[in-house]
Amino acid sequence: MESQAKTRHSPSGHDSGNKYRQLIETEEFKELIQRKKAFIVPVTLFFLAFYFVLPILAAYSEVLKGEAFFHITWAWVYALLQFAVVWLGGIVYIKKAAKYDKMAKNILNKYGKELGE
Amino acid sequence: MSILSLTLFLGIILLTLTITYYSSKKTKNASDFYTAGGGLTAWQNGLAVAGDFMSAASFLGITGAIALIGFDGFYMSIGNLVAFLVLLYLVSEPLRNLGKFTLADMISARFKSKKVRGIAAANTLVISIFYMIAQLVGAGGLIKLLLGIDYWLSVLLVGVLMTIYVIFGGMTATSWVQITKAVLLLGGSAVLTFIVFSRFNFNISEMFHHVQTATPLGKDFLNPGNKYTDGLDMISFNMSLVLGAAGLPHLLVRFFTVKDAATARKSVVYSTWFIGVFFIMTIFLGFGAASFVGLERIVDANPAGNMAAPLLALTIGGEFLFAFVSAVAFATILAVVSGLVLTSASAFAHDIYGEIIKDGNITEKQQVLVARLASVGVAVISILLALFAQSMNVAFLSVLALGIAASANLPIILCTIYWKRFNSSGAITGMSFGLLSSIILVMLSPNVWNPEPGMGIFTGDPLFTMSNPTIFTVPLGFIGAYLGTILSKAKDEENRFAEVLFKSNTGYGISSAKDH
Repeated sequence: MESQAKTRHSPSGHDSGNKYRQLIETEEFKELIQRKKAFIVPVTLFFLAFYFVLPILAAYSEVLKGEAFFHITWAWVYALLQFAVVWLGGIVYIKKAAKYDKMAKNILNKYGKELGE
Repeated sequence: MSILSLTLFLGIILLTLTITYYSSKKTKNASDFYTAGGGLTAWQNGLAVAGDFMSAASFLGITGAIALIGFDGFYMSIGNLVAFLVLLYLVSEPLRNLGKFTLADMISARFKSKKVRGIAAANTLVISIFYMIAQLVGAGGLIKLLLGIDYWLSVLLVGVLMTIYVIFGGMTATSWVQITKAVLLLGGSAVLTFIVFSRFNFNISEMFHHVQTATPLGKDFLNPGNKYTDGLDMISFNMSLVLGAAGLPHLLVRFFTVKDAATARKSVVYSTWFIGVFFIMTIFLGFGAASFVGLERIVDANPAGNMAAPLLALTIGGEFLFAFVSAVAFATILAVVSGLVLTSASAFAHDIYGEIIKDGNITEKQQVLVARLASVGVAVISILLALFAQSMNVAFLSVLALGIAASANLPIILCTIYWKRFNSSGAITGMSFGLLSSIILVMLSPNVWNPEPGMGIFTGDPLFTMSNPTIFTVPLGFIGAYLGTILSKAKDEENRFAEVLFKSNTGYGISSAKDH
């Protein structure tokens, strides 16, 4: 416990700022960020858009009011599709994140010296 | 109160106090108190996080809402669930990698400014205390309905128990009470769902068919628009649901109870399964209540529909199930409010006292002592306010808490992690814009001003006609952050963005409490 208290209060001066600025410019780190962006940004935009379509359709159209099948209306079908999106989104994220973890680990291994370890 | 109810009710109290007793042995230093020593597994934290969402408001509230207004009652379930994706994709990992005990810690990883920490801590206190008062007032009314105990006694009982869990057992007790309750609630709901489904011969089609004739709404029961007639207001409400959760401090601190970002992400994914299954069960409970209890009996017991689930249990399962469901509802209230006490106490003891007043020069012992004192203080204030607010309609407090979380916290969290140019002035203006606009608009809204006496706090016409202002306040939070940033000359924080970016993506330098 004591040790982390010290790290956290150590002055993060000019030198340490420089160190991180160099690290984020390394090829490996840039690639990690790029890959994350390419996955996270579109997927997030998709599920938010998918989410807001429900209240927008409910407010300004009648399409959700018709029966889809088994006496279930489209409103419930769409709502339950969102559950599927969430569960699927979770599984896909875990898989992707495992790859990012590997890349992050490689970066920490390779640049351990620069980090002062 | 029947002997059966009393037994189960005391059983819950005894169980939670036992958990607290064992937790207290493990609660020695500050990290134990604030984060259960960071030693929870993904399963455990997943259940605890899910437990925060399976509040009395969702178990009793959503079931009742579906029974009374059909599809419109289900928005809350959808919004709360999709919120987990926001949490998973944008917030949980950077939060775990950058923070230590509180939300303000994470923002302070980028800005050393005491002002930033102070406002972030103040936001946490405001959100958590508003939420707690809403929960306590609701709890007082509910326990009165469920168990026949007077309002003031109910509030006092819940208040005292939550304080005991927190001061003796810290985050360990708070988490385990939440986990235990989550399991009980999932189990209880599963039994009810099974019985309801069996009444429909395990046939989805029959259930959806039957419910179209069961209520005065007729076929419209299955359609949107029974409650929310103002489209923009309804979209705004949905926005607060999906964006608010990722800014709720009592939820975010749960991610400090696991050892690293990988565990944090797994716990979010487990949560989506627990909570998703739970929300699907609320459809069965709501439909069951509408079909077998009937609108009249539900509204007679409580106009908001909060008694729908317990009455369903009574109707289809008898005395025992009713007593069980009531006891679980009580456990739910206890678990959620104790999380709120802990979060408020952490913001006060760690951020305001430890980091701002004492400049971080505070021993472990002092830190825990202050946190315990702060817990008592927060609890006493909330109990008094809840006693005072008995006859008020406090629904606006929950709207406000979620709105502030979405408008003041989320924009700042996102800018801190992802925006290079962002600076401390932007953080201050962003949080202030989000906080003030939420408070002002809600204060002018129909939640507070209502022409019908008793529906709001004051009788009169609202100046702002939407009951949920999130659609305006979230952009205001972002605009505040943007303007504050570009209009200030501060450039000193720029080098910390590299640090924040590096650490949040690699987990380097993560504060782990595993070394004791």
